[in-house]
Amino acid sequence: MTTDIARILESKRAHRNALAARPIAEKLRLLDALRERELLIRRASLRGAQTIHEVHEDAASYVDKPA
Amino acid sequence: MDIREVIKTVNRMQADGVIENYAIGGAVGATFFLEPMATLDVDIFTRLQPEPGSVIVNPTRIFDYLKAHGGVMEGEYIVLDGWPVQFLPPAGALVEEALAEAVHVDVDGVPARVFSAEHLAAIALQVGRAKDKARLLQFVESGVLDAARFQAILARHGLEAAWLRFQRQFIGDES
Repeated sequence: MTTDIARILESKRAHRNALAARPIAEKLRLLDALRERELLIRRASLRGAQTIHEVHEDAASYVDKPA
Repeated sequence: MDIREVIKTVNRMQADGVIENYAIGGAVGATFFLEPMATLDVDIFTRLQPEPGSVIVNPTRIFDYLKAHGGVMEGEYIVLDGWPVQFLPPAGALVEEALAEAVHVDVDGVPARVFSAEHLAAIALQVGRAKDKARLLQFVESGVLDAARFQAILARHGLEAAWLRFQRQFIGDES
């Protein structure tokens, strides 16, 4: 454990690089796990959704637009 | 839930002539090059062909095929093996090019066609939502981009000014 922010950021970067370097099949299994976790969270928060607005994301527009 | 099964299904669709070439884009496509990132859906880009003798594009053939193979319609998605999947036509020259130049990747014996890292990064720049900018930064920091290829794509699609703005805002470097 450290409170040195530079070391923390470097450690995070190293962890991300290590994840990125894993075999693709393993990374896709991690995607499956992330999705399952997200569904669990969503189900658990269904009751709260009546009073708290759910996070909404606009769909991507893939149409060319001026730079 | 197994995203490889989704890829197998799409490969079968192609083999059965339901779709032509396809490519995986979005966060799932980016995961082929970066660390895995949580996402709501799988974006599959493919040209939607009109029915023989018609000029009107009709995705019904895709949906009918997938429903017959266990897919379940949910709004604009079809859910395959627990994953909401969206079939998107390449709207725009950049995505057309990305589809034409997609790369072949082997996923433990399952062939997949995926947008190149450079095209995914350029599309993220063009789409430009906050999460797209975050993804573009990940591509830049990961070092997976072929700089010459990326620059050429930006030039072809008029994205150089947007790239300069992005660099000023997030990288602090215009080199």
